[in-house]
Amino acid sequence: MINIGVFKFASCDGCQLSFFEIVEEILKIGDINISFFLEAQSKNRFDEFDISFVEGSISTPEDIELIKKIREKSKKVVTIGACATSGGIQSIRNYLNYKEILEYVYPSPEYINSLEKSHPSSDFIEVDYELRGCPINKKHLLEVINSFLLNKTPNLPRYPVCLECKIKGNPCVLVLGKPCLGSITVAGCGSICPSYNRGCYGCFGPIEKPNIEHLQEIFKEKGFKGDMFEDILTSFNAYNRTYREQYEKES
Amino acid sequence: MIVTVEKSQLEKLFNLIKKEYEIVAPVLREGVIGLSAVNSLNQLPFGYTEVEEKNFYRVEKSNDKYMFSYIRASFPYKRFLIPPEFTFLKVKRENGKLAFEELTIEKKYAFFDVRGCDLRGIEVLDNVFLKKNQHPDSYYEKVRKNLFIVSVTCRKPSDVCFCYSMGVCPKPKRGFDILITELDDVLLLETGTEKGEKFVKKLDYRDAREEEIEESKKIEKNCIKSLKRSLNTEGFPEILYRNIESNIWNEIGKRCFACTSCTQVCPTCFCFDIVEKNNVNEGLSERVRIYDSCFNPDFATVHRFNIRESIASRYRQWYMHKFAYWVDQFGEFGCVGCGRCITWCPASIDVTEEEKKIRKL
Repeated sequence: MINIGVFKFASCDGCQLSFFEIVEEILKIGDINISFFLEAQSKNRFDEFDISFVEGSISTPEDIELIKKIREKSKKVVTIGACATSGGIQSIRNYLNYKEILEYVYPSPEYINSLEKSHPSSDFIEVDYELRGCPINKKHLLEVINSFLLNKTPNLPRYPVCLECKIKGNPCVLVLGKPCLGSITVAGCGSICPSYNRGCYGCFGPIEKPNIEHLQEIFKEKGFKGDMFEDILTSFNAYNRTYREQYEKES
Repeated sequence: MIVTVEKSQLEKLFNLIKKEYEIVAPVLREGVIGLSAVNSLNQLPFGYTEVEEKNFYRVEKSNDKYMFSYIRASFPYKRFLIPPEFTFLKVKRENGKLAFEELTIEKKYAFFDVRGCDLRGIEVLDNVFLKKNQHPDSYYEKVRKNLFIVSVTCRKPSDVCFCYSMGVCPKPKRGFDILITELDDVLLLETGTEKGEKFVKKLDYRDAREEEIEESKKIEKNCIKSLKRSLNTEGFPEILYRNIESNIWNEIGKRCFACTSCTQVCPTCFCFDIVEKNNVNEGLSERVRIYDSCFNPDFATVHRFNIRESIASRYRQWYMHKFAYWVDQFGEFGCVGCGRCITWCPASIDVTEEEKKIRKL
């Protein structure tokens, strides 16, 4: 019997919904107990977990305490989605003036006790596996659970979207004249957007060594508007460590 | 046999082949010429042609009167010889025991319209998987054995083609069952095998005239003359080995995305990975063979360390394999000059331009 916890921080709940899509598969495995999952059940117990799945970014002082507690009580901590892995869309604020934004959004900002930046879990704890995407691919959830049961490392892609896109037989949409981030974005989504003749917008976040500089040049040559950092990459995965480092280097 | 038939006989030939084979041919889909299983001859992109350049592709109406006005599909035929992803072993728990099931690919394909470059590509893969391999690939072998090939002489190249540099002729000399050369008024058919002859004999044909054979040779000559790109292979492997530590690889590494596109559109890139897909709830484990690429960061990762960490080292591996290591391994180049890697490189890297730079080092 393995014990699972599903937790949520600052997020839209979309990634947790992936659990509802694999309910049948989970039930068939049988040896699984989900003891903490606020979105799915009314009785929850916070005890020891074999795997804790964490959705959402860390954005309040309480969040920091809770994520540390989850780490203490869990054998494996797995982040699910762009928020928990890279700070999420809300981490756009990390590159702006926090106080100004607070005053824009809230009529009485003095009641807000939030961190200045929206953080991925890995800024505070050690994370075992990161599931990318906005939202995640449910197949990756099953892969993590199956792999834990079999005591093996889950097989999660590190290669760019282009490889799975070409395996599917898609022609390159960037060559065909559409702005596409596939070449610097990690695979796993099933190259959904290019399969529908649209450019990838990078919701799975960067590969390990994204060649952002040259992609910016190619975008310029092809007449696509927008600065990679200011306008394009600072979205779903704005505070991903790779982008963060490059951004800080640039500015 | 070398014979001549009216152009209208092409449909008959197609339908005769269709009775015995599943036909795969170029088709125009959403503005791109790809490859697909087809049922009818008019699914082929007759009357269209490609405009190709570095990082640029467009299909437009052709301004000539020929059927085979297009050049070649954006993808090579290899994905029909070795599917990009297929399960070849299933292990299941049954009554407390493990049951093993081996899966093979049962396909009887006819490739209808294989140009010289792709025909040579298949020949290179034959050497890799079968002829120069001590452990012949049984999956490839099975599909290959049943394969029927209809080749077509190229009337004109695209701007990225450099086949002639790689020893490939626009009018193939071997490796086909039937070769079609479209002349001004008729089709010249040449057979390479008895299988091919069997089909041609069922058409309304007559012996080819001397001037028709001459016309086909002229078409080839003109095609070679209009090639815009070239790659000088003379002593190139040695030059590459001499420059293995050159800074040029770092320079290319700054441009390359390591996106893997070149390896996927290449007719000879053959690397694959074997992945175990486990399904605990069904007590099932599947062993899957899936296309891989030397640009994949996992490709050279051994014991958690990637021995080709930099993009530069991955590009060097790919380029040197094509033009140097392949020669050591198989006695030929791993490039057929189809130019697809030039068109479909989103980073605008051109292997023929790099050759010229490397020669100047």
